Amino acid sequence: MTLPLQVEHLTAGYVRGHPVLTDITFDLPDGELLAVIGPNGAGKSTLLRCLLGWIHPDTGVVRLRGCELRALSHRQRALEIAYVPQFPPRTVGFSAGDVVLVGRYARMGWLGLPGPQDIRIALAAMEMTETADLFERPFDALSGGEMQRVAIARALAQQPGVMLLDEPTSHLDLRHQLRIGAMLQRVAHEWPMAIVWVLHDLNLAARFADRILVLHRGRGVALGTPADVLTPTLIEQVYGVETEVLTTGDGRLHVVVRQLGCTASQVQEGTKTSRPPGLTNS
Amino acid sequence: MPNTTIRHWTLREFGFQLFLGVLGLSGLLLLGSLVGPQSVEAWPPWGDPIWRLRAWRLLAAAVVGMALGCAGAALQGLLRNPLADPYVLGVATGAGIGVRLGHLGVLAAWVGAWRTPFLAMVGAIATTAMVPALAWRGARRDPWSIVLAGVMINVLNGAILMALYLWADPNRLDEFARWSMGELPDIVEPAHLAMAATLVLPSCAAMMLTATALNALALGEEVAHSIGVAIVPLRLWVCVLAGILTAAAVALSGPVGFVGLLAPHGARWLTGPDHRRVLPVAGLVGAALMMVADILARVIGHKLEIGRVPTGLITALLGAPVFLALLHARDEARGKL
Repeated sequence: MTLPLQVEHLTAGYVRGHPVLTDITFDLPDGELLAVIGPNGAGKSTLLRCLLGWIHPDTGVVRLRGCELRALSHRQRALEIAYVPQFPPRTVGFSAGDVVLVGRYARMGWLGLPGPQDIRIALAAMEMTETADLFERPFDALSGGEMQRVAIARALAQQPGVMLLDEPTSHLDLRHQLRIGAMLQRVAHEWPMAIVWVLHDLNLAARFADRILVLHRGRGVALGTPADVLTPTLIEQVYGVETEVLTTGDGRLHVVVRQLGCTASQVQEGTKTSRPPGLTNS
Repeated sequence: MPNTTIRHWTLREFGFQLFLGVLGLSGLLLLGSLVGPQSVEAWPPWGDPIWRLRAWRLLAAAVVGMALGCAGAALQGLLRNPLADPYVLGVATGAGIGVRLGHLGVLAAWVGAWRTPFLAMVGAIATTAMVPALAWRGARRDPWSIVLAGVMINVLNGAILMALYLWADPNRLDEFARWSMGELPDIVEPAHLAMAATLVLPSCAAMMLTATALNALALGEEVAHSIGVAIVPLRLWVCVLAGILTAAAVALSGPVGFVGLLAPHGARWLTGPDHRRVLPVAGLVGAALMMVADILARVIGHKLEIGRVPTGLITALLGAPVFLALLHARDEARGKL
């Protein structure tokens, strides 16, 4: 079976000649949760936009189940890729169930009337995200964490093979971050689905991701399991922060900050001369 | 299975509600046509020429209201802005330019009787296309910049309209003042009404096909895009249909304000935000609003002995306070959550 997502030598940006992403290559198999981390402006959101087909690559190729992304129609893409943005929609009057059912758009008939099948799938998606009891509640009255779980259920109701999330947890409290992380891990492994999760929290990525892709200045500087990727050297190279990476008794990695390392400009110079270990693109 | 708005949303039930709405409107038509300065003496009334004049006029009001209500609801959904409406965005005045050109006899040779609605459509669609194009030039798609652009286009179109009147006959400016307020003619020709209805009914029906996409758009443009809504064709489709609807309305009654703004809010208040319900209900609410305004215009003008009152005057006088009250009610409802 072809991989859900293949990215080969992707170079892309908003203005031709000024790429935001340079030569990114990775594969994503079914049932894998890939965390994408990197400093602000590293190109994480741009990568997601490329994977959604909103930005066409300057060079390189994004393949969805073996088909080149730009050859697919809106509908075909929507059948295979779902997207959860950073902030839940601000919409008044829809119930949470209505919001989830909107995810069935590409699979409903031309009149857009959800059948019993659509409602069953929406409910199953909401059960997966532990929001089934919110089905009738007005969406705008939910808490931030509930909204984001409903938004993920909406993406699941699309029945995609790939789910892309752009920092869905960054404005949530600790408990909700952990809850959503655990949920994404479960969805990836049980559905099974390929998930690309853009986030800032290294510990969250270490805890739940199967693999981590580190972006820095538009390049993929590391790709591998959390234990391979999250090393003090790499973190200092990319973020300019001195850290210790501890392994606790249960085998979990924890990144602990010691102090701010060299200044940002030094970091930038550093990356020009030497490249961090774990390099995947040469 | 849970008890949801969607589950209640069955075709049969909603169809029945719509049927009741249409029935109510028919009753309004029957009763409304009996009210007025001259009493209808014949019974049954349809033999009476006065009744017939009033009935045609009320029917025309209903068609205008339906067109504006449906167009307003779709534009509000598309632009995700509760202030969008064919009048505010300048589409109505754009259609008005077409109507004026039609009356002046431009293009008489090759479109004949259809020239007025045709030119109105050209004007309306050109404006609907122009407003978003002006506002969406940058990468930023701020819903408010569209309304600002619309207000400016509206002013520009108003000036062009005025110039057209002056050019045709400087002595008819009072007629312009009445027409630009939105006024149904005393004698509605059945042929004109039929022409407008053949534009309005299919366009309203076609607009229904955008309802699910508009629902998706309410979750944000990016999300709508990612679940498979083709945004650019949707925009085009809604703009063209709203242009046709507005053009048909303006060709009948001149640019009537507030109905396109108010009817969708009324519809949402009745049915919730789901566009599959809002679009048809906004059409019915708009029709009801226009009919009530027309009856009031007829009665008030007679009572105050000021002659004919433009229907648009009534919709504005009624519409603005009701709109403010709606805003207030919504804020209060939000405060309670």
